[in-house]
Amino acid sequence: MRPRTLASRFALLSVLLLCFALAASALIVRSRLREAADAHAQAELARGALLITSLLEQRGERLVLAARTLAADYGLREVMALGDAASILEALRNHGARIGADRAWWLPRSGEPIPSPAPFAPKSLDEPSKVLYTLIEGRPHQVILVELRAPARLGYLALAYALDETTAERLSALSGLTVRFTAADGEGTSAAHERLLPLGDGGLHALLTADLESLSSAFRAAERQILLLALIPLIAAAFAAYRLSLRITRPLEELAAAADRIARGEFEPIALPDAPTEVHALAERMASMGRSLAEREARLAELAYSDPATALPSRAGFIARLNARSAGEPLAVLLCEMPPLREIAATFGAAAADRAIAASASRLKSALGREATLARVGEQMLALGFASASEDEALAVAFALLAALREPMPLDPAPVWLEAQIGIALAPAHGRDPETLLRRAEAALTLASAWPERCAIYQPGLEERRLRAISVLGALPSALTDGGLELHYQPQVRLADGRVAGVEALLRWQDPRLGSISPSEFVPLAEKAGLSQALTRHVLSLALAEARRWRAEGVAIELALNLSALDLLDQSLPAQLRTLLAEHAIEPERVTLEITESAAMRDPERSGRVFARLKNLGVKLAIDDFGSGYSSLAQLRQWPVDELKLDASHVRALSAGGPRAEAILAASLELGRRLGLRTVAEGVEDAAALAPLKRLGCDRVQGWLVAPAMPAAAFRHWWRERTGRWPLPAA
Amino acid sequence: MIAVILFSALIVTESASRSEVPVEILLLDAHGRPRAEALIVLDDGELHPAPAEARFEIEQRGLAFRPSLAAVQVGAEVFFPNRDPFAHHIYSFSPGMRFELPLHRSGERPSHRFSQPGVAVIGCNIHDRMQATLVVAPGPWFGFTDADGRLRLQVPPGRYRVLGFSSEEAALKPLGDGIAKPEAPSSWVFSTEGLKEAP
Repeated sequence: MRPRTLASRFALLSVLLLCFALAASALIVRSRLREAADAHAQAELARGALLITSLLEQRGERLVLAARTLAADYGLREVMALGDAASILEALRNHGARIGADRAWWLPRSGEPIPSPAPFAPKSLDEPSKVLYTLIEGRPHQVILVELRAPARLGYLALAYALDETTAERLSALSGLTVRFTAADGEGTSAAHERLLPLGDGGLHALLTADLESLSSAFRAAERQILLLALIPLIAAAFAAYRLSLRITRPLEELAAAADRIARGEFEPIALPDAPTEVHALAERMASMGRSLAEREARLAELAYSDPATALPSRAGFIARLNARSAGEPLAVLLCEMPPLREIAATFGAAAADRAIAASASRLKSALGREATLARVGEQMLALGFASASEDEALAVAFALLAALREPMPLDPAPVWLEAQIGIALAPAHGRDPETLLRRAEAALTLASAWPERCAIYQPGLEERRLRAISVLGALPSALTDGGLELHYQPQVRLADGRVAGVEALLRWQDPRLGSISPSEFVPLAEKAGLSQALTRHVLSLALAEARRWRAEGVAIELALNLSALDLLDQSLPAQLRTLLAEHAIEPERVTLEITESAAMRDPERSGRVFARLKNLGVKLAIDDFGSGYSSLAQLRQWPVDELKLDASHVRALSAGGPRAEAILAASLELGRRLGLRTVAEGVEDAAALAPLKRLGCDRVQGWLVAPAMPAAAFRHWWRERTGRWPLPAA
Repeated sequence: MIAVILFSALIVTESASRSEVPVEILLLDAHGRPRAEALIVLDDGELHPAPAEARFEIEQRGLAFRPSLAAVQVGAEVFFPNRDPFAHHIYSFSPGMRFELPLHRSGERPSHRFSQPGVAVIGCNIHDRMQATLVVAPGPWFGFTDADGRLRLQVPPGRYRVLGFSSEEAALKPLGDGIAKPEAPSSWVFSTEGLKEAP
């Protein structure tokens, strides 16, 4: 494992360096010692070799002399001259023993040696004597050869003396070397303390071994001492390096701890009494960094928790203050929005808006009459938090505040009306944490804007509805492209003859995740999100393409389509409709566009222009849901529609029976007739509703009694089954 | 030492009473040059012992036998006078020629009769350096070549084996055969090849 700390690295590095140096010097000394030992051994060996050579030569000479004397023995000469083998053998034994030879041979001038064979075969013997070294029966011997003359040379006497351990020991004692006689050659000679001394030329050697044991033990002792001497500075160096590195790393560790403290937000001075200068400098930088961090943090906190324009707490400050309250305590959060502030800012500048909000804040304070937390949580929003046990109490406070803000606000250059509205959320009923409460109060604001009292308490589910709206809006663009949105068709039957005269195209949206989504839910969302045009185009092209298919199949019916309020404001719609009609080759008079009354009322002038141009195209126009919502007879007078579509609520009322419902219907139908309009009743669910409509002269009916809205294919099938006719009940 | 058998066969030829004829023997060495002082012995296959009074002398003087090489006819008596001021002990272990003249003092003159042809290498048991060689010829026909390598002999006509003395082997070696013609002098030429000289 590699050491990681600075201290251990320092120590390791210095120890390694020192180790290297010491090892190098130890190696040099060791090698010098070895060389000296080797040289010494070599000298010993050289001396010993000389001594042993000379000792062996002397011995040889001595033995030659003895052998010569023996060879001169008259009796021996006579026996050798006689040539009788048995006598010779006996004489050899006897005379050999006389001079201490271990073995003896007679090598006659011609003929076989006795005893035969001789373990050596000297070639061309000429000199009177010779010393040989040879192996006899595997053991080294010194062999003395002397001529025997009588008086001419009869042959040679060979006398063998074993070079046994006794000899070797004696030579060892004399030379101070270990002597061993061997027939091996070359082996063991590589050692510096050994030498092979050749004896004669018979391959016999004396192996001389210098006694290195005592010598090398002295050298080894020296080596041990050197090693010991090396260890002392090594340990000292390691210790010193470690101490030194601690002086650096300990302050570093303290610095690291200080950095941790800074990270935790504790900005205390860093004290490093005996750190090296560099570390000191680093510590000072860190300390000053900590100080400026502390300052900046304080400033950031100030900014985050307060609104500089009004000196009120900010949204974060509001949440922090409410969080500081004990949990579980009943709490009311009021969110007060003043939409005109946006216009004020746009007209008189942001500073004016800030002044207005500051002024309204002080009004609220004085109107409040109780302890509360007041904060500015948005450009045109103030929030209040106070202890409140009930909805009624919270509402009472809200009304008091609204009353206080209803008075015009004197602002330079002109007084302004703030049109405040208030959303209320209560803890613990609507949530426990301030974030949730604020969010729910904001949700309640959307209700407040719709209500005349301009004040609303959060209703459970409100937020979920908003969430669903967001999901629906998110799914809408893909539904437009991948066909999740489709058109269903509900037949309209002419009461005069039962013919299926037309269909109303109705949008259906089945989303795999959100389930079935009704147009009343997604159309307003599409309008808000600016998808209204795209949606209308989609519907138009789908419906007209289907109409074209009908024509091709011989289904001759009219097509009714719904336009939204925004569509009527869309100046480009007429031209696009004309293009689509032409593209699908649909006669304009076969198409009816249904418009709600309220839609027409949004911008009467602008929608009037669009209306007129649509009319010019030749399409038919209908007032949808006639008799519901804000109904204006004035518009009916002004707008050149072709059809009145009676609201389903009135038709259902018919089914329940009752003279008032029938009277209203009768009047409506009469109105249509007088204006020369076609009348269509929708929501016809039973015969009870159908009968009065027929009687009162309604032109067409549409509803479950006839058929529900069906997918395109199902409708075509339905139509073919009936060949375009719906059998009217007899009555 | 090599044992030489000189008389492996005895060949019976003419009677000794025949009149003698001159024979000249020329001995050449391997290079064709005359060989001087070589001892040559003729053998007709029979023993011709010397008369009883025939004597020869090899003296011992100055720690040496003189002459150190000599030839005598078989049956001759050889005297060994001691002319040194100390005693000698003469012996020969040569095969077939063994004899011993035990310790004899200065001035003594022991003798030995050689009744068998052969070569006797003679030594003194006391003085190892003293050595002599005595060639005992089967007949009276022997001699040393002169400076020209020639030896002249009077021999009865007939066929002879001619032998030369090899000093190295201390033995007589056959050089070849020669026929002595009855009516005219014969001339034989031999090569020393086979006659090894002691260096």
